[in-house]
Amino acid sequence: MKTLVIECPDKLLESLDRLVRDGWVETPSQAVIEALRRFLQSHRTDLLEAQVHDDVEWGLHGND
Amino acid sequence: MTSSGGSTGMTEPRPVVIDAGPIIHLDELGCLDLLADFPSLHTTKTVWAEVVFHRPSLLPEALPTLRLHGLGPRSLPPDLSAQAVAFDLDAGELSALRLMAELTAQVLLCDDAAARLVAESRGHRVHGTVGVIVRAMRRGLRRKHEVLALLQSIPERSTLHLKPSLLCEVCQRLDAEA
Repeated sequence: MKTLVIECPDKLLESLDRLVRDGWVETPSQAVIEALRRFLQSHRTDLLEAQVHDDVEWGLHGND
Repeated sequence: MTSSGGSTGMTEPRPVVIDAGPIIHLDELGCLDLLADFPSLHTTKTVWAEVVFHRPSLLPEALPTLRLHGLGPRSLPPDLSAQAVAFDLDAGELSALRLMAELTAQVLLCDDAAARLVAESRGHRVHGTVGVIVRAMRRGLRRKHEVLALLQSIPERSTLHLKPSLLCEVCQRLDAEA
């Protein structure tokens, strides 16, 4: 496990603190890791590439 | 921007909803005029606020076919609400998806990978900035060399993130097109 040092906008930090205060997550780190995991799931490189290729196909051969 | 008019007796163009990303990126690239080729273009006031935050000098007049919609306080459908949380959609993306449902629109213009996934899972077709630029060639709005120049300028002139090798691949594919 490595330590990541980041600068976080105040508003995001407030939301994060609220999640912890309300008991949805135990620590800010836990919430950040979950958010990162979700981001990486939806931003897989193969997915991003497929979306761009879809764009090009539509751009070249779409019927609109 | 336009307001809705009365019936003309002609077939209404199919509505297209746009998220902030393509507006911002096309403006950065100086080719916002490509969006005028979508005669029934719609977005929400939430999305527009995001656009203005990133492009404060952008005036609505630059998008003559765009209609802005304010969405009422109606609650989100539970499935969309759950997807919004799971995919961490922002307020603009969520409002665009709500507008898709309200207008029964089929096409969303959006660059966010997660929002694209959600929209596609809801049966919508989604295209991004790259698609709009490439489409300009098919629609006769730009010549091939102009489209290639626009694409190649993406890393320098815009905040749209594209892997360099993928951009190169796209340009090669376009170059090979008649």
